[in-house]
Amino acid sequence: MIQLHFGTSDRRLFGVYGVPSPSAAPRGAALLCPPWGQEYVVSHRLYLRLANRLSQAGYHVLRFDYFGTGDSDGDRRDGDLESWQDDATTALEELRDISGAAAVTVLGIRLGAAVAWRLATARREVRAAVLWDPVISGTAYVQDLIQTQRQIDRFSLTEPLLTRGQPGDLHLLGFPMTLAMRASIERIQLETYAARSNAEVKLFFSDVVGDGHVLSAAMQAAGVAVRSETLLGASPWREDESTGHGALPEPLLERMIEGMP
Amino acid sequence: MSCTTYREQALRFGPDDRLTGIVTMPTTALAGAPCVVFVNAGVVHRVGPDRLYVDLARAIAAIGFPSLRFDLSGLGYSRPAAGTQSLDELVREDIRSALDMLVPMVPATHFVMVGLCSGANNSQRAALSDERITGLILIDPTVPRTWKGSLIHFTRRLKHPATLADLLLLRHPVLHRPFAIGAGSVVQQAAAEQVGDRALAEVPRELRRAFSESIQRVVARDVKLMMVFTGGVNHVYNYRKQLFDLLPDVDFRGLLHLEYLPNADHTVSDVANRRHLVQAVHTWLRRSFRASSNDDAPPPGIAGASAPRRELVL
Repeated sequence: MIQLHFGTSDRRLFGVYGVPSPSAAPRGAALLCPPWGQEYVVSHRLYLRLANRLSQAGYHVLRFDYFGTGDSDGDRRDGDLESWQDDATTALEELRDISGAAAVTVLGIRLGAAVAWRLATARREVRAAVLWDPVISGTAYVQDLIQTQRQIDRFSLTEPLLTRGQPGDLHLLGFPMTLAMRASIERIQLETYAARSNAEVKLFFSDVVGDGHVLSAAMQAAGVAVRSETLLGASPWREDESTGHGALPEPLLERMIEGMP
Repeated sequence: MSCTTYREQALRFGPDDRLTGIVTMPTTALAGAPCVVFVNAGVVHRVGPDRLYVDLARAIAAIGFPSLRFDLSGLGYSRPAAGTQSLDELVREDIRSALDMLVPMVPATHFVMVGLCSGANNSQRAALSDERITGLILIDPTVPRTWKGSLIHFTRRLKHPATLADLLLLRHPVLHRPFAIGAGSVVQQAAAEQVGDRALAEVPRELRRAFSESIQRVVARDVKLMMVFTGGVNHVYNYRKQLFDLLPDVDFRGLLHLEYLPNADHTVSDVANRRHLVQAVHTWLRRSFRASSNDDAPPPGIAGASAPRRELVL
């Protein structure tokens, strides 16, 4: 595992590169796109574990932080879906440069899956996309966060957090969401995924099974080569209150790596 | 925060190179400044809860203070340790390894430890055994309640609209489990089975004694202290001067700066309180470790902090 900074001096990003195990058959390169906010925090351990397992399975792996998140430069209020896609593109180029791989698999959970999919539609070198519980409706995603924050605020003895911050900002589970960020996320809808891509797609669902069938059908109708699978088990992007982490479902990870395109 | 005021370098260090961290070096270093070291809060990796440590590290670099944010063994990007040490021993070894690495690298001769919650507790323990630590910033360290604090908490909770609504609608948990709190409750019984009734009764007293003794030892070593309590722990700490009711025998001799942020959550995550905390840390570091400076101008990027100041120097 090699920690590195990359990108331009005014948009420096942080990433962790994993070298493929010499004992495994080469399987190309994999780029891991993280989710946002509390889901980023909760799934951080899963992403590290996934990166390690992919390296052991023969992939060059790059896991990175968007600008304004994690160890990358920038402020928490910086960024929106478009700029995160730009960051993912920068990371894709970095990964290709380091690994020499011609083809890349992109992986993402929740909002990270939406970023990975956008990359898959924009870049020909993305040959496969693995999307785990992707955000299918950006509006529903934001509303879900708002409801959760309202529940927290309802019982809190401090002033409500939801509308603190600059005018128009929302404060959602520890992170400010700007108007621009919200607008870009709310543009995600089923049709976003009904776009042409050369990438073969594998959908994994562990939490949004009902909508998942609709998504799979929409992508197939758009001519995307897509397979889907339901993983039975805890969702790694939901916090387990006893540990503070998301679940680390090892059998699901193994199943996911086996089932990658 | 402008990245022209700092440079960051990711590195590996410690036993078997198992530890990982990021050193933030100021573009313009302050001569003789201590190096600030951030200790994990719970299981959150080195960026800190809701990215608090990143915000602090870059803000203090703007006024010349270098820092390290790193992951303890088994957390974030650091590998687990292979040995059979207790968790306390392991944390102490990891912190010692971090300081050993920083001495020649920065270079640094003395350190300020920063931690939130368990990170505060670990920082405090480290200061007891490592004389290179000359400053502590403890955010919501574990403290016992006082009687006054308990009274305030239960009164506020009882008057809270959500509690009143749940009581009126007969859906409050206490109506369905009348013995859920206090002596004889399920919780008490389970805990008593684990540690014994007598030991359980001793917990608050023991916590207060250990906390008091630890702070007294730190103060006796002339360690400069900044303690921050937030509204996120208002079930335990809920009035400004509670610390002095907890520690009536401690003479801080001007070494303590207390910040009370009753409207902030535990991770000081909202923008206004975050700005206020960053500004307060910035000012405290300057005052404590740069005696010749009278300049308390806000650091670049955090001007216009709008949260009210609530500070106490003793």
